[in-house]
Amino acid sequence: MQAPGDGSAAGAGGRGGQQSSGTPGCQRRAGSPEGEGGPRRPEARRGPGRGGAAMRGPAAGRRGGRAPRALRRGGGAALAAVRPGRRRLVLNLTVPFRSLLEAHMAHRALIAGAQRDPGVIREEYTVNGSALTIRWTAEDLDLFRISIDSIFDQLSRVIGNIQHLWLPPP
Amino acid sequence: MPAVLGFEGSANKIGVGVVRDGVVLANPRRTYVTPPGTGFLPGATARHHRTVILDLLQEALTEAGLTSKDIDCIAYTKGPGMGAPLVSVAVVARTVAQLWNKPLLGVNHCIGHIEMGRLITGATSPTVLYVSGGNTQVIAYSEHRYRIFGETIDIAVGNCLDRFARVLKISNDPSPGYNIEQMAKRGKKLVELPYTVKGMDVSFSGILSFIEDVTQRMLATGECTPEDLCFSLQETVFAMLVEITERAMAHCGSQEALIVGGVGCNMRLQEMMETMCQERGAQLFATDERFCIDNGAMIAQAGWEMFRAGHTTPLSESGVTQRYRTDEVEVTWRD
Repeated sequence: MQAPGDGSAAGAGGRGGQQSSGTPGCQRRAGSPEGEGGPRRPEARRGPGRGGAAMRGPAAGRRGGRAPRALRRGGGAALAAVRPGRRRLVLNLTVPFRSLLEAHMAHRALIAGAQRDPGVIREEYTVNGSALTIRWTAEDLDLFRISIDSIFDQLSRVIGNIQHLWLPPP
Repeated sequence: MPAVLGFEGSANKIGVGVVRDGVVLANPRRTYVTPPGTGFLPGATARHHRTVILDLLQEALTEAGLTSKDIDCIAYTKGPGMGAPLVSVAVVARTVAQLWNKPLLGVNHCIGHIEMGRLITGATSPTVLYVSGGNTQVIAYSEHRYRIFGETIDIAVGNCLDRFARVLKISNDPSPGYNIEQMAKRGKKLVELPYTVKGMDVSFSGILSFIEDVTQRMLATGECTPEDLCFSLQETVFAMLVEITERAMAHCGSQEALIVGGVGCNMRLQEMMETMCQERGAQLFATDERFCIDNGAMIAQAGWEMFRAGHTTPLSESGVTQRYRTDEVEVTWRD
């Protein structure tokens, strides 16, 4: 999993007093090949998708260097809403499905439970081809983790239901 | 006539029911039971529900003798209840509705209890005492709403009983309330407890705090037995409930009373309510544990009524809400 925020958020006590935004394990997996990143969810990997989920953060973050320009403090309108001392955390998760239909089913099943308070944590769902992409944006690391955990649970249930109850047309 | 499949999982019971034309075709259920002295937490409860729900779904269809093609609508508990369990069931309902290409219906849990109580007992327009681990309300129907005439201002009566059961380390199997009821039958001494009725409302948190404080001392000194405490707690809280129900019946001029919710299984509560009703020349209605305790068929039944009245829930609006008031729903299926 791409370390949330930028690639330089390494040890404890990062900038602005924020606690470490990733475990060492997460950092090792930063920018790793598709299907090998982030928290492992067996259901997602065995699911209707072709090989599992891919999780990507902002491209510049993979280099493990300085924060990408857009995320540097004071850089651009995008940071206007970020409170002083806080860092925006972003995670993209792409889950491949066997078909566009299944991706849409998962999309509709998950979006109804999306966060109703986008000011605290934002979840965005899009379907591209037969893949569902979920994008999280937050400032609070704890809420970030809770939301990810919740979505993973729901996603695994949706995939399990599809596997259990439906066979795709030949 | 439509057949509706209902999913219920707002607390520690997970049930899937099938109802068609006022007939309960299936109603399997599982209960998540925790060790004595503990309660059920949202995350673990949700995990339990996820583990068994698809098996329950198959069991319900088999028991009803139906297939997915025979189901006309999928109903699920939209709220109120515990967040994680509600979400885990709603996700399944949404997926099933899409897989089977059936309309979806979010149902208010409290209305599920009421509609099942009306179906099973045949009560026409009763004053409803809804008592469970999560809710305590006195409800009556008026002008297309189930109006709340009185309620707890803090914790539910079932929550009070369940938490006292933890103090005594009473088993949670099959339910703490049932085990308190059995112990209360052996109680001989009435211990005076705070009696808290505030107009049309009741309060149980103070009673719970008081009895939690005195239990160890009284048991250690031999002043009373655990059975006496169970008896005393039931007598006190049930008397409060009877009082506010009678007040609502007097206000509405009602000649029928209906008890619903898990605590409604309690025979002592039914006995006390029966005494009050007889004194008023009214009739008491109650169901047995199949339909008192949270179950899927009650959601299916409420869903059946709503579906026939033209309600459906778009997928985009099929979230859950932990706080869903009984009077938020427009009851278009009744005159």
